[in-house]
Amino acid sequence: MASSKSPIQGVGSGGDPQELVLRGPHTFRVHTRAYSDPAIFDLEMERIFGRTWVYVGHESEIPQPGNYKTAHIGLQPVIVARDDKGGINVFYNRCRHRGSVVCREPRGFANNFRCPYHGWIYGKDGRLLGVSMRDGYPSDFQQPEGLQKVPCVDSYRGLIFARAVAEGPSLVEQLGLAATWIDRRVNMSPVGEIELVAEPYVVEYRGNWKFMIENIIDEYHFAFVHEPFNKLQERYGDSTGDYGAHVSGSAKDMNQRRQAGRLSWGGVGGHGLGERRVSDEQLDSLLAGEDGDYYQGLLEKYRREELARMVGGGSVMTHPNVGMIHRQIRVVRPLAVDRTEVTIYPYELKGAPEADNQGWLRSQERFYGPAGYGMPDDVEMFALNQQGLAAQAVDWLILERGLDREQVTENGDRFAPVGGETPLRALWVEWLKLMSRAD
Amino acid sequence: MQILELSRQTVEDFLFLEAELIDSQRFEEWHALFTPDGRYFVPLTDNEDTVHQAAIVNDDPLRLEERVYHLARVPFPSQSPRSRTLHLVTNVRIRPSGEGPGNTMTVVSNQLIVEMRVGDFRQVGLGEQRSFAAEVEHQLQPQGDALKIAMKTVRLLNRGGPVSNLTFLL
Repeated sequence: MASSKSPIQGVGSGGDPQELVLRGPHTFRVHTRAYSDPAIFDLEMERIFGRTWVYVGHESEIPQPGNYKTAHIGLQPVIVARDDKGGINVFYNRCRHRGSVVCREPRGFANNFRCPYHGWIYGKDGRLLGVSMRDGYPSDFQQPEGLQKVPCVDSYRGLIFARAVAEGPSLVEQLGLAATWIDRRVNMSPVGEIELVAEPYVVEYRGNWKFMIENIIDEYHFAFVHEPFNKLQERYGDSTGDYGAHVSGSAKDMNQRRQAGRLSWGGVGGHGLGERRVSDEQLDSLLAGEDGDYYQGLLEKYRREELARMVGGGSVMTHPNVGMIHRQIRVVRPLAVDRTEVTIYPYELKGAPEADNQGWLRSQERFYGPAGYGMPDDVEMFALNQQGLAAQAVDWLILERGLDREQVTENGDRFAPVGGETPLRALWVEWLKLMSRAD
Repeated sequence: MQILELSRQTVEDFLFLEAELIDSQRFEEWHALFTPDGRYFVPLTDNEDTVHQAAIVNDDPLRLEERVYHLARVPFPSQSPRSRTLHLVTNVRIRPSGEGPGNTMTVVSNQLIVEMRVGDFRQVGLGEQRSFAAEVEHQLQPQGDALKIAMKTVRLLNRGGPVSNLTFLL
């Protein structure tokens, strides 16, 4: 980056991602084009979604041989399927013959996948079982082996990821500190497992995908975008089914409780993590409450301090596009530079009290659905952002909140008091690293 | 008022009144059409289970009060500017008695709900007409001389698909 450049001057038009993030001791700015340039979007599909572990589903969605679900790695459609040996394969949803998709349902059971165009048949493991009217092909016909496989598939705590290239770090390496946060969510189940039972909410917005990623771990916006929701919390608290997901009480109490026991983390690898802890009093009241047996059971397995974090329920946004927030897995799917799909999968904790799982379902209904009091306001904002970016005379977006209050751990993970933009900056540092790798 | 004696015309007039209250944004008057234990339900899934499924709207009486308070009294981003709506109510069918509980009549209609947000029509999301087709089921009960809604269920044609901003009343 040219040192003569001040943050308020423009960048070259060379398309070098390095020019799109300005970093200095007191500076962290991202260029408009990082959110609005179709060429940058294409590069993201190639260098980020084309090279990293991308979430494609949860094991509980495909429990038995023959169960499948469809997903995407970047823009590429894939099928995630369980074979007869119980193994999980991920292959491109594209007939090797002339390109038609072979699976038209989002999830289900199939003994095989039959291409609707010319009837080629593939097995549960993607292997080509039969070419229709085979005698019409030359005797030396080079028959494909099957649906093209995505080379790398791995799971972490039931979350299935796939990577479109063979070479790269392991899934656990990529997850880094985020793995701890995933553990905290999943360990809330007495048997350490979550289950995706409910159908997901699917929301589209006309804005760049990174606005949603950033927002998940942006605590700064809550008092503004969700000021109307806070008014409901003041008036109704838990009585309409929040189930303790959000703080309630007077505006002053809510403000105080949003700071207490909370830190914002930016993990190496671009992960945004919100650390939350319930207070001793809150934990004691849960241990003595209606579901006391459940919480006592957890206390036998985890230290009290860890349990306070688990119950606090901080958010995790793993790079590049899957998060766990409250009792949901959230997948952010880029459709175009200015169009994004968000899928919200509520999950249940296996073995947890029925009332607890249902309580959380009601809570997510109230905030995250298309008629809820949270998500529609968030995605409204992303469309507003994207429109505002049309004023390209303004070069930079400012991500400097809390820059002078960050601390760094031995591993390079950063944390700061809640409300700083540390998690957002971590995303951009990883973005720069991946986008700059030409090979 | 005997529920069994109601003509389709009486029932249609009631549905038209309800639609008019929504379309003219008289949200609190709309709320008053419900019985004290009235519910408003917009399922996301075909099986309409609420034990293991999330709904688009799943309002018990207190949640319904909250929804109306939110819409009528608290400005929020996804309704700033507001939606205009227009309800077209058609194919009104009165289900045979005995299908609903007690002195309740089940009425099913097909509705086309056209929605558009006002404001600067040059901006994304504003000035765009969206339409939502739905099968709407009302469980109606007589209270004195008036009909009341014990339950309103809106089965959107595009339930489960990508849908954004249903923060207006359906």
